[in-house]
Amino acid sequence: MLTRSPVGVKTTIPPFPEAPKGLESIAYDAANEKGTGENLQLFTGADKQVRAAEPGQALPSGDYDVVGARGAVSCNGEKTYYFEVVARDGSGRRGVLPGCMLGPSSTPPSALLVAKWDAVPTFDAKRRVDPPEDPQALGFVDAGALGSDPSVVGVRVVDERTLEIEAEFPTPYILDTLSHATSYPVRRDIIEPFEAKGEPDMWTRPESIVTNGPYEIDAWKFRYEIRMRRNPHHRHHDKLKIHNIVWMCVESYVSSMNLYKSGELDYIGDNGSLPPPYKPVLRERKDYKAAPYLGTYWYEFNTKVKPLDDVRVRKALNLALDKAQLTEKVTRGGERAATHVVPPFMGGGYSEHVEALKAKDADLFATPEYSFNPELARELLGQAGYKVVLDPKDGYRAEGMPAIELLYNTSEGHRALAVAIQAMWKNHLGVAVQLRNEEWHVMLKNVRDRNFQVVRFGWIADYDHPQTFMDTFMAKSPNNRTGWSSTAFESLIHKARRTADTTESMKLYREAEKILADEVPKLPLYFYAKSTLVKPHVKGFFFNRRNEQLVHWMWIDEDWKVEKPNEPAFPPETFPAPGAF
Amino acid sequence: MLAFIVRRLLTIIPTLFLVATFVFVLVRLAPGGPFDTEREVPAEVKAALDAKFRLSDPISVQYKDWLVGAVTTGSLGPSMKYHNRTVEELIGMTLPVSMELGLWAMLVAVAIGAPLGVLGAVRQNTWKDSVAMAAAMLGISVPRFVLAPLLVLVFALKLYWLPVARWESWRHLVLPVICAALPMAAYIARLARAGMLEVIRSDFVRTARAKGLSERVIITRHALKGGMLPVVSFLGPGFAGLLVGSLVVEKIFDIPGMGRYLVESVLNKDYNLTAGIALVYGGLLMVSNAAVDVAYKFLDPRVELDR
Amino acid sequence: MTHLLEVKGLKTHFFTEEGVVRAVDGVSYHVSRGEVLGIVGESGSGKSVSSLSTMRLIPEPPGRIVAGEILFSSKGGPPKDLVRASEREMQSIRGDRIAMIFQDPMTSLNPYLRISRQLTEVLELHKNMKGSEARARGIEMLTSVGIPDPSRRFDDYPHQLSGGMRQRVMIAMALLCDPELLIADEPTTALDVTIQAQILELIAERRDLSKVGVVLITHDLGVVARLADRVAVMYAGRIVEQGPAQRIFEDPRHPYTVGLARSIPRLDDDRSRRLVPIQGMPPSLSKLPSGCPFRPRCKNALPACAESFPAERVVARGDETRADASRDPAIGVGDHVVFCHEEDKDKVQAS
Repeated sequence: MLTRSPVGVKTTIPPFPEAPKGLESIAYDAANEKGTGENLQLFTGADKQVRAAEPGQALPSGDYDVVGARGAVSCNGEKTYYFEVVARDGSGRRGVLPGCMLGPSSTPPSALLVAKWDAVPTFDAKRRVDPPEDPQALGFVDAGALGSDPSVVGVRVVDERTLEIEAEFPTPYILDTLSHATSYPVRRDIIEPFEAKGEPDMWTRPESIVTNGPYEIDAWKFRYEIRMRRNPHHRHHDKLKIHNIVWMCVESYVSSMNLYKSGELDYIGDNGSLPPPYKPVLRERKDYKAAPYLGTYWYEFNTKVKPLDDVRVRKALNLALDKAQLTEKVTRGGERAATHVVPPFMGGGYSEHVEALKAKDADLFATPEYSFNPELARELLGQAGYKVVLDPKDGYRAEGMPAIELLYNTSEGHRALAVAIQAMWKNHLGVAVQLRNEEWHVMLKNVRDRNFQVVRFGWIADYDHPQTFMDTFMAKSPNNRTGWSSTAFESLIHKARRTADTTESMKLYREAEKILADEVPKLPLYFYAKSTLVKPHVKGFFFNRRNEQLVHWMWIDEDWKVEKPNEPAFPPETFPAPGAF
Repeated sequence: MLAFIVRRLLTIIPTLFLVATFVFVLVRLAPGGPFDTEREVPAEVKAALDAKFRLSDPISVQYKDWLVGAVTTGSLGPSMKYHNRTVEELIGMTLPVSMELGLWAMLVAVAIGAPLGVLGAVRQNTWKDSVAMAAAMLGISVPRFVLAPLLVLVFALKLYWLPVARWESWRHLVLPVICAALPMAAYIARLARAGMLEVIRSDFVRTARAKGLSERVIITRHALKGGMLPVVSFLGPGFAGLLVGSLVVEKIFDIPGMGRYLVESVLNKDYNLTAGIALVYGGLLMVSNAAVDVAYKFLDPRVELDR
Repeated sequence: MTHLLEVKGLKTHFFTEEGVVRAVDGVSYHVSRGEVLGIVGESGSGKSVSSLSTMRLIPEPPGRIVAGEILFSSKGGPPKDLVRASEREMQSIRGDRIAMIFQDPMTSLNPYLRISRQLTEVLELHKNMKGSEARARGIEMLTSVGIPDPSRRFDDYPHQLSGGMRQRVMIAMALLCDPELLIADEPTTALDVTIQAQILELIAERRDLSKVGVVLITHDLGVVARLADRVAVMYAGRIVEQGPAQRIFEDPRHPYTVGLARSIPRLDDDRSRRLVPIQGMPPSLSKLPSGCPFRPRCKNALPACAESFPAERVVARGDETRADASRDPAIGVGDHVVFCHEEDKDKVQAS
């Protein structure tokens, strides 16, 4: 059943530069939906012009006024409408145009513009099929419902500036999902001409793209630099203290650090971390900034192959890893050892819940049962039939345990970690591990073919809510490559995401997490951290766990060396938080 | 001569065709595809992408279309990684940069290496020779990824004479050009020394001495031409090697050249870009070898081009 | 009487990693104007090194003239010791006063330069001639050495000429500045027999015309027999026998000279005579046996031969040995000397 979400979302879509004339005369005539459309011959190919509107009659180019709208036809594979037009030059020429052919002022007929939202059908609960009890939903709208009938999408245009989204159940993180790049507003009138030409990607080129952020593209040297200037249409245009930004596309960490050191960069950027070998040195610097990052680095088990099909083996492998050592000695960038899947600093009420648990000393995942515990690990491995014996010369040896193959994609960082883990499994369990590194695309193919035992992966949160991690453990998720599934887990998740009360919801998520920690389909190693360097004269830089640094919060303090006792921690003008307007 | 050049260039075409064919097929045979990502995309999306880039067609059809496009319109197709860029556009942006770097580096390499080699040969077994050859040995054995950070450290980060990276003014050229040139200069020095030594020991140089010519005239007029032949024949593959080797230099100095695509396009399974890059590098190598052949004709009158 | 060139006690050694190579180890000879001195010996006997020493063209290092004098009397002037001359003085003498022809015309001309360039540079250097003047003189010289169509050949590259033509070019190049001394190092070895004769003819002609003194270095006794007024036989860096050509051929004293003469065919021989090669190999110049270096190959070796290099013994005085009465009285005059212990034995026996 669908229920109305308690969260109302009002998102602004930027208006077109000028409202075109004639738009007001377009009206959708529902009564006339059938019949007339059959006369049409529609051409949606590369030719911008409509070649034949009515049989045997081409529509000459020129300015037209819309005099009426007619029923649904198919155009570019989607339902749209066609319009009767009359030429403005008084010649009395008439014709019809499908809605998808009407563009902004750039293409003839120049005066016409049809906004897509006129054609968006409103949500009709009657046509909705009942949600399947099989809990396999992936997003906040049921994928099955989406696939069977696109018209059930609970998204409406209320007016020109308001988008209404109706969710299937209370979805507290819906705001956060809208701050993801996939839901940024874009201009139809910019994109569609390119789609019509068969070049749907070309609108993103600098000469074509229209953006609505505080900064717009000034010049773009591909993979060299992007120069940005203040967007004059942005509502905070006059408040932006930084007028021009140069984004340098620097390939290597060392070069970017050199550029930073020589003063050509004010800020190393948020795309990536600093190289681990430098971190111990850089960590001491005042301009070094590091913060936890919503991501978990893990190893995934192929739970369909021996001996990893035995949960005791997986658990033993997990407990035999001293993850604190890994983050302190190998990664060295402020990462935190992970005993469970969801980063403890996760939003959506999760971090508060974890803090509360910790205050009561009731954090399950801090107990020895889930932390580094080689004795327990050896015992579990013994229970699984691989008795761990202590050889006075060679250390531990797991009798009968076949060697495990650990797959990772070729990279210095992954290798270092894999080598350390190889040693730990050898030392604490006496399990032999073979390392196999493959180039990224090759590895993806082998993983898809289930040609692996243990493989390195990780997950970066799409939105600030535990659900983004939990999704990857669902049986139907393409990101679950382990072959593991659990109905108990899935019904817990199903319940958790429908629970409006945050505390209750988080409790359920933690319960689900316990199942993951007990069954170990994926072995969490650490929670990510990001680090960067920012010059002291750059003010207004705030790290956040999404690692999204907004330039419009920043400013350059020319006399930064002078102590300013009353300097506000935040910029003088308050900008809205990301995601909210 | 002109006929020779034209004929020599024409022979490139079938070879280039073979290179293109091999690369086109091989990249497609390697496991993995251009649209694989860590997060699985729905099958429909994948199918749409494959359809858009014609990857669902048989290889023979893809190849035929690609070849027809390349020959008739000069179009090498869209990049599969950068969907809004065509291959010829990516190459057009980066090749001039790599060429500029490569040509300057070659010029500097010859300007440093050849005199050093000649000096070594003329002052054979003296301290000057030893110093020159020790420097050359060092130049060959120190890889560019070691040399470059050292140069940056000294000249950019300590002395502040030159910029650390990027591609803006002539000052940005200095360090990368030196870095690209030095190993090649070292190699040229050794070649030049060996070539000059052979010529200096030859009978006709003894004849020149017996004529009473001064050492300077003997070296410049009699020995240099023959002594430089090994250097000249190295310049062809050397230049191609420089372009390939510029991968490291371009990365360290953050130069927007073509080197980055050389490895990256293969790793990304960007089939079209890989084929385009292979064509360009193959073509460059063959053209520079042809240029060497022509240069040989100018240097050595015994070489018959129109056999 | 001053000779055009007088070499006294010349020692040229090469200091290599394997040891000291005594390529020339105490050699004395002289040449007069218009006279041909033939220096005969196997390869490695030091004959070429001795002539290169005269030109001071020994590669240094490893070679060095360690002792001796090379006295050269240019234009009848006082003798000048070339061993002590500066490089600058040598450059003005080379190609101008003393010219040299080398063995292999295929490799001795610069393949990268036109013949015109290689000829005119000599004139520019020594005679201060320029452009068309040098060109005219060069073509004239090519004509005089018998090159057909010289003005066309003038701008050819060496590889466009035959071997014989190239050697003619070499000779023309050597004679451009009217040298007083011509050193011909195996000038005919690389050529076939008919061309050999023409080239020797040419050298003889120049000797007669411009009274140039010639040092003719060869391993070929036949060549010497044709041209030389006097002959020096070299073995292992030493002259073992020296004297007027006629005497050396008629009355060879050193066993090595005798062996050489037997090992070559002669036109006037009857067919029954067999060629007798000299047994054994020439010694390594860095590991010479004690005493006479020919001792290991010599059938008549005496105990004394192992002790010391034999002293010079005069077989016949110079006055008695004039070669050709029709020519300059000074030409072909010299003592017939031999360095052999056997001669001493004869002497002992005679007395």
